[in-house]
Amino acid sequence: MRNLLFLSLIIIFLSGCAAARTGNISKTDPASFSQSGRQSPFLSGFEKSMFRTSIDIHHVRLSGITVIKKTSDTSIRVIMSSEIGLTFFDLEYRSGKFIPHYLFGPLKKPSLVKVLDGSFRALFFSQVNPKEALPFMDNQSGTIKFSFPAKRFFMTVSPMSP
Amino acid sequence: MDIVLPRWKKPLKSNLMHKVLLGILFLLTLAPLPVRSQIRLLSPKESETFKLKVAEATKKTATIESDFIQEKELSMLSEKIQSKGKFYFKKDKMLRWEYTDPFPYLIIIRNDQLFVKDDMRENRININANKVFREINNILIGAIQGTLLNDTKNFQSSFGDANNQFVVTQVPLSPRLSETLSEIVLYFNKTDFMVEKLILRESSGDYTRIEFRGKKMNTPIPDEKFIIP
Repeated sequence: MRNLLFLSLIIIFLSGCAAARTGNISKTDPASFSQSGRQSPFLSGFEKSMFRTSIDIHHVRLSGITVIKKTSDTSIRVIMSSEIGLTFFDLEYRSGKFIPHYLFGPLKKPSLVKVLDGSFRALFFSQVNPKEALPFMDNQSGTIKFSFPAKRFFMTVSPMSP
Repeated sequence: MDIVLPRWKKPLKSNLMHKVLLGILFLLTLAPLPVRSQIRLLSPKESETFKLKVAEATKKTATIESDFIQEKELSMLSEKIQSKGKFYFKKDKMLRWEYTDPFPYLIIIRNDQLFVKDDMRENRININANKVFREINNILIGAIQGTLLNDTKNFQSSFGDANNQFVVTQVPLSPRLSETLSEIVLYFNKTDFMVEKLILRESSGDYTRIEFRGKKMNTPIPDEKFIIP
């Protein structure tokens, strides 16, 4: 994979444990971020990337590597696997339609699939509209998180050196 | 005047397409044959001798230290993800996987505890509390120690002789595991009877190949390497 863009991507699902996770997060002025910093990098000029990924689902943490690839003008494929190589999920957005091709056994839960769909949909297609997503500062890591109050999750996208 | 083609004309075109597609499918099924045909199946007696040799080698091995190269093939995307790192094993159930590329990542398995650390967080998991982790842990430890070969309850094994290696193909029998893995292929060195390559083939068609290189056996590895903080 040439010209890989290495990013660290954390999607933290907060359903049921929001209070425990927000202790180190403080509100930040949306005006302090440039518009380009909040635009989805997947909307234009994107081909493929590899991401380091971690997902917290209640008290279980899944971590690994995610490959996101634009497979045609209207479709994006996203495959996450653990560090030792086992696939966690293989999802596709084709003409806006969500197609879960494969889900690792314990992840086959409709509510979780719905959260995955909502999260990746927001990540891929959303311009992170300030009306929907509010920026917060993670005081512990120094990263910026975008909160989607309506969807009950936080999303962090922070660049890593190649 | 419109010319109306007889109804059988269309199926003829469709049949031709079918033949072409079947031909392509046939060629595709032939593709893996040259590789597989180089593997001679061991007789039951040879298989038993091989298992004994592996058991002997395992008995003599107290520690393993090795580099590893891991390659994950994403068949649907025609992409490969390559990872590298260091591997340490100490009898009985101490394992340390230290990934250095493309991202630093550490896995320590000690008895029934799994510790995972990346540059952002640490995570401790009790393997016995999670069936899937327990099964994957059993596969990793079992593959390294060779005990997986005798696990007839959970795997159907076939034994083969390739040019430079013995090849053991293990098909999971448990429905939960076979939902994730379709087969595990272990490649054993013919001289020291230790695993030097491992392929985890998933039901999705993707596979992960882990190759151990520069193996050092029975060199002292301090217990500190396996301490879960």
